[in-house]
Amino acid sequence: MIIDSFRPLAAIAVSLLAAALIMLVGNKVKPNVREGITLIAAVIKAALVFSMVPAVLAGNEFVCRPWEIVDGISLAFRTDAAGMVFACIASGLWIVTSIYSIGYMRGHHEKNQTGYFAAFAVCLSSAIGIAFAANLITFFIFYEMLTIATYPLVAHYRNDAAKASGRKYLAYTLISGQIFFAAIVAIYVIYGTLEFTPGGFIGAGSLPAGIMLVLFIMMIGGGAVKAGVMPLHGWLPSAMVAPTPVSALLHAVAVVKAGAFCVLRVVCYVFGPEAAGWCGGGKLLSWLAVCTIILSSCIAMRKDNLKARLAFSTIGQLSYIVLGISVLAPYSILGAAFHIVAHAFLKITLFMCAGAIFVTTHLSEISTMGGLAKRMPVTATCFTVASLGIAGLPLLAGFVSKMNIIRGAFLAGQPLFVATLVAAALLALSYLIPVVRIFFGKEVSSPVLNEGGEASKAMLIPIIITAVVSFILGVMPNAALHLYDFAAMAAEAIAQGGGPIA
Amino acid sequence: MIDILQGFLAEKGIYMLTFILMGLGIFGMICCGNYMKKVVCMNIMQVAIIFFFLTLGQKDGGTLPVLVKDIFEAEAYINPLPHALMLTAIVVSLGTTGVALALLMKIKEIYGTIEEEEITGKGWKK
Amino acid sequence: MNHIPVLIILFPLCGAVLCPLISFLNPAWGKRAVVGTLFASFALSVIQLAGIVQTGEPVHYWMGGWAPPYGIEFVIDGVNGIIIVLVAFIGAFTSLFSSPFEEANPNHRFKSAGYYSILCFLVIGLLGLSSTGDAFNLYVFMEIVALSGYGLIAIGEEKGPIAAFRYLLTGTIGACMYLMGVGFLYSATGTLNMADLAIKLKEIDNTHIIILAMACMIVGFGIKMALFPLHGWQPPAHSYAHPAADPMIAGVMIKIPAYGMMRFFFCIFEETHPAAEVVFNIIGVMAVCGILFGSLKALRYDKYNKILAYSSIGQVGYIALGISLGNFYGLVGAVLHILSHAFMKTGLFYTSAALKYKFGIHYTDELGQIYRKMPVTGTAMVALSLSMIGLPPFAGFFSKWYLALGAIQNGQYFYVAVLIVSSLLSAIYFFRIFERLFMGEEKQLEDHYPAAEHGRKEVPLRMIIPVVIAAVMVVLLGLGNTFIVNNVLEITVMEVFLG
Repeated sequence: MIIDSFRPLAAIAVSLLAAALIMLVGNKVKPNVREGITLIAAVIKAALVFSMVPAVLAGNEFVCRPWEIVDGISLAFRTDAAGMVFACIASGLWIVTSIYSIGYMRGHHEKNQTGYFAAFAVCLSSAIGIAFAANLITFFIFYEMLTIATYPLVAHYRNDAAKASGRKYLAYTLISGQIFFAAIVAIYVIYGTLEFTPGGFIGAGSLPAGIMLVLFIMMIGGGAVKAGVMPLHGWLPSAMVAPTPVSALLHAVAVVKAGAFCVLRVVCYVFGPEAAGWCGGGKLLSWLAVCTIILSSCIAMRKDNLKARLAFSTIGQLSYIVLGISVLAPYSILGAAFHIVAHAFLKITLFMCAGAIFVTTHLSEISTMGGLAKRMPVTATCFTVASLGIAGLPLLAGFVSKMNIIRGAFLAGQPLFVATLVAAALLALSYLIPVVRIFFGKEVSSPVLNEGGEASKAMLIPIIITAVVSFILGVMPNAALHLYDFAAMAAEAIAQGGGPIA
Repeated sequence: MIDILQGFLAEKGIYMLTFILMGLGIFGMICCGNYMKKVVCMNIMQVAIIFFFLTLGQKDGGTLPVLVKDIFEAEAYINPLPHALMLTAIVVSLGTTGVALALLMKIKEIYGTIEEEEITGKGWKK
Repeated sequence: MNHIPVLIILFPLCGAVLCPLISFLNPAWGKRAVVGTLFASFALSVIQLAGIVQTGEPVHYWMGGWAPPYGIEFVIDGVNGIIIVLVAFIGAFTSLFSSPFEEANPNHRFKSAGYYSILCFLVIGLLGLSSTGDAFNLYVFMEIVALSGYGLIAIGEEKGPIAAFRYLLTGTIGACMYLMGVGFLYSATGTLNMADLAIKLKEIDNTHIIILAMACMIVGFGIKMALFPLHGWQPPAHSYAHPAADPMIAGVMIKIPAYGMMRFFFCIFEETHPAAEVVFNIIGVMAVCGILFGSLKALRYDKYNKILAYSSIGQVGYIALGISLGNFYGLVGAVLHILSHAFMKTGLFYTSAALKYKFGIHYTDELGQIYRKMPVTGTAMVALSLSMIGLPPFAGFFSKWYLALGAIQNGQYFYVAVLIVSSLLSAIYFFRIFERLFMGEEKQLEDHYPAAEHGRKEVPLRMIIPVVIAAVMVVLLGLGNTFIVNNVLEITVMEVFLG
């Protein structure tokens, strides 16, 4: 059933308004007020998104078409199952991240905090817009908004390193975005619609395979850049100069997940598994993803900087999602959609741990962190839990998603991909477990680790929350928000190829 | 042969001349180094356009488009419209020339010269 | 008879003529005469557009009651109705914007009166240029625009007179070429009324004369709209003009001839004419070269106005590209780009003038941390520049969308590639400005309008309002583009241009 409602639009507008408010009053009021605005907006947004969960779970959809945005196409929002998955984690984690960034930014005495919180809010707005967009043009508008809003976050420190990484980030995202734009126009001219349809609206054989492959590559490029699929991942590690909450946002919640989500929308809702497989795009994408998983894990092992290691781990894990989608089997799509959730909680825990360690001890290299568990036992424990989750150990969220991807690949008759996935899980263990071993090692490698205690509460509580949630999701994937059900609904809809629900 | 030439000249010769005049004007505007000469050439070009319009209105045996006693049929007069248009065009060209001269005075005041080469030598390109 | 079309021009004409006289008695009232009449003409133009949208019929106004084809006729349909609103709107706000500059002028009793009067004539010329239905009348208005343009450029910075002189020479060639084209058309048809020309030209089999006329028109309008390779006059003119009048010159003056070109090639010459295809291809090639040339050249400069001027060459190429596509979406894109680029460029030149006014900034490397001192101007700059790059949800994106749609419908994929490359190139130079704005080192600059004296961090309110309005309009025009497309452009473009 379709429910006409402004709730999707309201969920987007809340944080835009918050951004405007922060920009207007940010420098004039106390930091508490400014961050209060962020928190209130985050809570309202999450409440709006979560309030739609029961209805969507019952098979309804909230649809909002405020006005025509270009001739013949409406600005359109729709809460389908896949969008709900992304929207729930983005809005839920925004609360957690904003509490955390209050602790981090204060603990670290950052400058330019007003701009930071405003850009953050715009990012979240765009993420929800991406999640709820019902057609390609709406999607593209928010996708580009995300690109622009993330730029000030990447270049936050405003020094030469930040400038360089900002330029790199823009070069990758703007070029791929413009190519994406050209593909959208071409698709509109050829097919006369841009509406996301489960199972795709492009029929296999409706264009010569070569041309369709070119279109597929043009579109997938936009997603692959943000999702950090090799060889388009270059911007991600250099964006590491940004403050840690930003990295957490970039790498776990908004940006890279928006990229993965873009791949999902393009492959499953524009082309559809059938056409994507027919033109050879699915195969191409899955091999790229396989290479990315293996290579990034190998690179991650050699990084001594904790954030850099996590960044390469992100590249690898994101390619899990891409691989799950490009296998084009229902179970693997389910797994991929759920990995968006699982990886978000796990990776944000890891990044927040890295940030907490950096703020309290000013250590960023893994080799200097020996014996960290003595000073910061809780942080070290949460880091361990999340590491095991990333590796895909049972009882943790990562297991549920990875198992489903492997199951899908197995049923699709792709033993090679199954082997890759299993190997990658072992690789993930091999680059994260050494970190844990160093943390819990007897030898204390830096004098700062002997005294003092944990990070401030504003940082510690979010870490504990996300770690606990990733455990709960591992045991009961359907707890609270029914995210597993949503993933399953999305996969089912794609497999059945229902028409546009509009 | 001579007939053809004569016919051509009678029909189109005047147009050719105006085009040559116009070409000369544009050529001069591009090639002269002195701004004053450029303005003069600009006027030559504008005059060529005026000629062009006036010849459009001409015809054999027509008289001035001013009402003459005893002649009432329109065929006896040449087309008055191009003349009227060109009056306007002359006014416009007068205005343009006036502005150009005023600008030249200002340029002379600032740079002390109206030679293009000397002015561009004074860091115009920067 | 409905007299609004002529009143729109008559009001500012009175203002322009009376301004110097009134200024003798009281300079403040001289200025108010101009500002007041321009706002009145803006109000009338809105009423006129509302009427056209309501009835769906174009308005015909016969000068002095003389019926066309003998009399001069004003024809206002949806497309030029909206362009007239645009011109009057920007003209009114520019006159408001100028006053702080002119008050700083030491000899302002006489010079300011001249300035306001010339600015007003520029607006009159542009209004007439967009409303007239007579080919020769168009020439006259074109020269009014040009003459007042020369004046406004000459009273600008030190190099202004030379820039103006060069523009004068080139502009006169352009006007003469246009007049020549009109001469050819007149010799073939014996009429000057555009609607009449269109009818009579259909019966003529002499293609040569039409081709000659078309060639003359391309050169004539091409020079006036600074289409590559006829753009030589434009960068110095736009960078050295009077800072307060620059928004009008750079934002609107080069767009209206583009509309004139559109009108000639679609309303008068038939777009199905055998020569038309060649002509459109030529315009397309000029557009593509202009887009790439302008964007590449803008990368080379550090002077803010120069960057904006070269970027205008590229953006005018967008409009020409839309004309050369010649289909519905191409033309809609071209008209929308006339509107959106007018707001973007005007807005950016407003910010440039505000920076000059407060800190005397001319170069982008002086921009370091300016956004702290001028937050409103800084924010507007960001919004307008993002629109120039063509990023959603700003207006620039949507005109680019229609242009790309038109190009792909025609199967001209190359043009889409050009649009993309140009977007990326402009991203380079605009993000370089952002980098300097937000991350550059703070420079010691003399504050000509200190906050301590005036109780205001920013420039005077009369300057902020136009800046903010331009930025807001860019967003509104972007999100509300279908309102214009569906209500105004759809009917007119289909019937008048392609009908």
